[in-house]
Amino acid sequence: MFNDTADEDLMVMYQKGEVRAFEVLLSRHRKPVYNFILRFVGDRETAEDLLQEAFMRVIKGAEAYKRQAKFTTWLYTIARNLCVDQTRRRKHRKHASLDAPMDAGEESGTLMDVIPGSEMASDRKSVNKQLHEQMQRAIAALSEDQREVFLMREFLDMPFKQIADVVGVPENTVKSRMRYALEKLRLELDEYKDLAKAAP
Amino acid sequence: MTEPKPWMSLPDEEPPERGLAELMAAARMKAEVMANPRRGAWRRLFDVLRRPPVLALATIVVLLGGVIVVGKHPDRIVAPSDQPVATPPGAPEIRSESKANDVAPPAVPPSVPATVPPPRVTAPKHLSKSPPVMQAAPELDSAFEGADEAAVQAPGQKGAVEKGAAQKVVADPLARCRAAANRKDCAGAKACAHEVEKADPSYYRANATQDAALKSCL
Repeated sequence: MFNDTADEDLMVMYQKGEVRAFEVLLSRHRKPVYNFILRFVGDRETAEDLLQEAFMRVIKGAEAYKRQAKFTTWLYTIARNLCVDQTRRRKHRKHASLDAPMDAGEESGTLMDVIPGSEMASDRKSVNKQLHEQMQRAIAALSEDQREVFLMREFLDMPFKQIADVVGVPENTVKSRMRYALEKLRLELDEYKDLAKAAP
Repeated sequence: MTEPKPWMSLPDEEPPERGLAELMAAARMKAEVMANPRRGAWRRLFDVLRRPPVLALATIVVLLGGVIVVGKHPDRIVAPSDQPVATPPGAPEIRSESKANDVAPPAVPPSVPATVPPPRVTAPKHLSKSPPVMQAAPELDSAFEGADEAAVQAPGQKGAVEKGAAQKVVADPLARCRAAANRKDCAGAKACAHEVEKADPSYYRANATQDAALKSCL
């Protein structure tokens, strides 16, 4: 019923008390927001908490939402702010090691295990794992400013203008940050170029 | 030709179901609140006040309040402009007289008699026959005299003073002449007596010629 409806219209319908509209919004954006947060903070449990918090804030602020604003801009601004706050808090505590266990439990893996594997031949699986590990390492090595821009641009396919709105900086600054992020990633992943070509 | 983007091979993860039920419960609660927005306190109060029974009650309260206020201070009600200004309770006769004859208000300030020329008074019974100059209204004269004396007396004595002034009107012509004669002002007494004679010769003959004090001057 609401599948073809624009996000903004769904939000207006939710403001009028239509819970089904919010359900559609949730099903549409839950996965991309979760993956954005996960790649930003690099911790599955924290990503779950932040995803929950982001949608809670959407619910709380639903009354204040204006139809003129793009829903995804609003949603990713909330998510991004939560991520930035979280990483700043973590910086004050300690620097997370990429290879350290993500939490105290025995079943918890390292940050590298965030990338799930798919059903593949063992050699291909190994190559992919290696590549993914290196990519994740390279993304994590980006500065916070560059990382958020890179994630929104490359994984969410957001236009620069919208990224600028989310981050709250001029569009040219966003482009500049993106350029530096790509240069850094290319340098980091240069030795894996052949590996990437071989990967499916 | 675009460069390959190796990071695009990073697969997306499915978010866990944990917390989804809580999220939907919160969304439902918020939807109910948004569907039935609470009106502001002032708006609700205004709506209550606009109801007909409240308006009727307010009208009754205002009317009763008005009656109570007017009933408490009846003296503060302003008289129409053509009516004389209310006098103190000590001068009821003056008030009625002035009303009947439509004369100037009796409560003349004390300075007024000083500027008014001395009244030319004659006996009241000849007023209709007297020339216009001599037709000084006795009410006016008495009012002036009353006011003159009232200026130096307490308000409670004002009634008695005015009664005496009314009697004085009758004997006034000769009394003034007599007073002048008593002061040894024979010229004044003569002039006064001449005026009385001119106005009413018979009265003059009957009274002035018999008066002992006047006789010495005439």
